[in-house]
Order: sequence, then C-alpha cells, then structure tokens
Amino acid sequence: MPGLVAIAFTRELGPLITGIMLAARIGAAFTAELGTMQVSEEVEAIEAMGIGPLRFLVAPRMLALFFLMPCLSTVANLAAIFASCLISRAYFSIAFVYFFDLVRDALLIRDIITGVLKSFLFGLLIGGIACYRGLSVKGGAAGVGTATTSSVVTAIATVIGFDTMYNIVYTVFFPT
Amino acid sequence: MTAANSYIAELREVTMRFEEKKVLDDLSLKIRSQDRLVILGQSGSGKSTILRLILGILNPNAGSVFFKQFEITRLPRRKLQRVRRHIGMVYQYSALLSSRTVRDNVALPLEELTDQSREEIDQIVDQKLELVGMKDSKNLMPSELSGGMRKRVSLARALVLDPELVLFDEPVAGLDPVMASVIDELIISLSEKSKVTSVIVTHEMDSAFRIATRMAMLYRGKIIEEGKPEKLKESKNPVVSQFLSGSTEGPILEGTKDATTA
Repeated sequence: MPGLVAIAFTRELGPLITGIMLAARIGAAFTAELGTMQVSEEVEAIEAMGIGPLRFLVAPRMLALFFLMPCLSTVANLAAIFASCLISRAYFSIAFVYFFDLVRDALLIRDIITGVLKSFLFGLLIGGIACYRGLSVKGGAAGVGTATTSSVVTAIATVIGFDTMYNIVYTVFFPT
Repeated sequence: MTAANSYIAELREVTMRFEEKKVLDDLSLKIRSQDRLVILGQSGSGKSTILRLILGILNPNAGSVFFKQFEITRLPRRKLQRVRRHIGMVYQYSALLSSRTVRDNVALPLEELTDQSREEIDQIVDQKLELVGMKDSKNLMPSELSGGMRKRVSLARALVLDPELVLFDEPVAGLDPVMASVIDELIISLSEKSKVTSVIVTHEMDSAFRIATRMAMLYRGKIIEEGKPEKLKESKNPVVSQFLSGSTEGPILEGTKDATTA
C-alpha cells in the first residue's frame, strides 16, 4: 500500500484532485469576479483608460494559478502519504519508519516531475477557462451565475480530459 | 485622411448595427476642439454608442472614426491603447473598480501607464480629487460612496492623465438637482480652465442647456439638428421641438403611441 499511495498520488491523484478543487473554488471565484466587473462596465473602463485587460486582469490571475497549482498538489501528495501512513499504523500496525522506507523505494523522480509538470499545465488551463468565461459574460447578474457554473463544469471536464490525454502522450513517449 | 486641425474628433458616415437593429445610420459628426458638445436623443437611440465608437471600444459596421489625426477604426491595438490615454470617459454608473479605494481607483492609470513615483502619483491624485471636492473620501471604498460622489471620483479618474477630450455618459442622470448643478459646473470649469473638449450624452434638458456650447440631436440613427443651443431652441424640426418640450404630441411617439395609450 505505501508504494501504491505514493505513486498514485504523485503521478495522478494529487494533481487531478487539486485541479478539480481549484477549478471549483478559484475558477468559480475568478469567473464571478471578472464577470461582475464585465457587467458593471469596469472591464470596459479599464480598456478605455488604455490599460489592456489581458495584462491587468487576466495575466496576474493565470500566473497565480500557474504557480499555485504545483504547490498545492505537492501539499495534497504529502497529506495523502501522511494520512495513509497513519491509517496503516492504526489498522495494519505498519511502523512509520518501515512505511516511509517503502514509500521512498516506490517513488521515482520521473513520477514526481510528471505530476508537477501536469500541475503547472492544469493551473494555466483552469485560469484560462475561468478568465475567458468571466470576460465573456453577458446579461447582468443571471449571466454571471450561468458563466460561473459553466466555468466550473468546463474547467473540471477539461482538467480530466487533459489529464487523460497527457497520460496517453506520456506513456507513448516515455514507456516504463 | 486626416481630420482638420480645428476638429478633435470626427465620425464619418458611420453605420452601426447591433444584430439586425441599425442604431447609427450613415451618421457624420464633427467635434470641434474646446467645445462642450451635448448629444441629445431618446434612451436607446445610440448616444452612448457614439462615445464608445470614439474610444474604439466598438467598431462600426461602415464608416470611420477619427481622433485628431488618428483613424481610430484602423489603428492597431497597441497604438489604440496609446491614443486612448488622451481621452477620458466618465461612465453612467461610474464604473469604479469596486475592489480598490477611491485613491487607488484614481491612481490606477498613473500606476499602470506612467513611470511616476508614488509621491508624484499621490500629489496628482490629491490635486484631481481636490478639483472634484472628494479629497476627504480618499480612503473609502466605492461601495461607501453615494451616486454623486462616485460620479465625481469617476471624473477625477478620467482627468488624471490630463486628457484632451473627455466623454461623459449621462453625467447627471439619477442625481439630485443640486449635485447635478455641481457636476455641470465642474464640466464647464474644466473646459474653461484646462481647455478640455467635452462630449456629453444626456437627456436632462436643464443640464444640457447649462453646459452646452454646441448641441446635436440624434434621432433614428442620424444627427437631425446640430448647432448652438439657441439654434436648437428655435428649431422648426418637429422632432427637436417635441423632444425639447417633452410633449407627448409629435412625431417621436408615432408608431409606439398605441402602446403608450393602451
């Protein structure tokens, strides 16, 4: 079990679950915020001042998610490993030291790298989708609601879809 | 292809459609420098569209828009952004960034578009807020301000880069008469002191006649009357005289009359 948890989370589940959570939490927040700004003409005002909304509104948000995703998925990985360690200790009486030895044996650098790389890309995807949906809101408060729902759904579906594609490409080019 | 020097902006044979609805129909309008041009017209007649065309936020379906020697409709994005710095816009609902304080809202264009130091920026912000009488509210959030105060902050923000042309979208709509006069006087003193050209879109007659040095009446996508305020007052055009008097009798409601009397 230690090996399974370590590999599954660093390669797959860590980035994926974090991605889904961020899409739901931060993606929704970005879309709602930008959508409201769009509806109340704030985005237009920014554009009218001669400031590019892409640079001023979108770029900082994309960058934030780009760097936040890998950090959070690392936290998720560590939390998963520690939690399974505790459970192994409580239910199967596996000693902490032995558990971590097994984890260390199972972990591969390439698994960690692929997980982190994936997280960076998820961050960009979620940020891009959330900002795009937010800036293309039309039709007042109801429009903001619709856009936020659609942003979350699109982002989660895209993250899962992209993850699958990524894994296919990865296994084709770097077979174990 | 340049507008004459005495004109700061010009719309030339502009047609603008939103889906099937033709909002502006082959409209031409010249804005002379240092004028206070008031554009009159019914709600939804395309007055605000004219302002957005001058800013290059909307693109016309046909025709061209000039600001000084630049053809707004053909400028590449970067150049357009640079030209926009010479134009200030005061929105109907102020459009202040709700996440920033009054000071930060006014400072935004300076912070983003110039290399000035914080002290210099603070100085300019103070000066502009003083001009609109809002210096004491510097640290408030837009949500803590009344409509009139927001309008004044929005005006300060529009003026912060010392624009040559300021566009006002319904500057006094929804304000009490005293606050409306304050805003009117601000607009007048601006153009007299700082030689700013203003284009004001409104349907508040009192305010329009107080501000205007020129007026243009927009009706069914065309400018049907243009000139000094006195000229519009004496206009024989039935649409203009009905609009100025606010009467229900006349050509404006024709076709919609059944709906209003039913």
